[in-house]
Amino acid sequence: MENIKKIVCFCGSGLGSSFMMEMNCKKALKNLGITGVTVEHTTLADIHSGMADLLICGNDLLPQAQKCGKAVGLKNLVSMPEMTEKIKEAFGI
Amino acid sequence: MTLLRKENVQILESAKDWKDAIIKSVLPLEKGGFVTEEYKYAVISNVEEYGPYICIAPHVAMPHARPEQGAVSTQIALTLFKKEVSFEKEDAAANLFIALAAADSNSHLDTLMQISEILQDEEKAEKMLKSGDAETLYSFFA
Repeated sequence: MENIKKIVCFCGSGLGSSFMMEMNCKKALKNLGITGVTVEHTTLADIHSGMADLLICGNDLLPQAQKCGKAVGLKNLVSMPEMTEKIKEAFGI
Repeated sequence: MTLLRKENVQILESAKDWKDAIIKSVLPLEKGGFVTEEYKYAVISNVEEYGPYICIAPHVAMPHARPEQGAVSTQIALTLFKKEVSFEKEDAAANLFIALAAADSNSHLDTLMQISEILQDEEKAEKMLKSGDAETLYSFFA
């Protein structure tokens, strides 16, 4: 299993879509029984290399995210199945 | 939903383009004094700069900008366009525009959680997108 301790979800403004992703991400981690991971949300302008072990965003912002480290993009930001799938992939489970 | 007022729910035929859709969907918030006149332009320029990140789910967009870009008090408005609005990018199109004004980083979070839950129920979301009048659309969020 990958050693991911901090996840940051982000969007263009850092208070709408990114928060929805944060909620679903926390829910997905809980459902998968993964503990000890911090999840936060922020804006695209504030992301930088080394700020998180995993970045999560909408597919459209994925190229920017990948410049700052390991990242996954979502097609549907509120979909629990998609979030769960992407978390499983990232954690290698 | 405590933040949603009936007068801020509308069903429209179509928009000229995505910019027009943003302007139309933010208008109820502007009329009610929840956002400044500049807010809609801030949303448009954010989308121009960052891409259509406001498209949160199939057929659903959530136009919003930062508090300092003109959100006066926290409120939402719903606009359903019968004709789909394209964002001129692959995959990005929407019928329902949930215009959000967040005056700070916290006051809108409960509402976002509720919206997220409504949209996660695909069957319900599909019915909601077919609402024929504002009253019906409002009932899905009430």
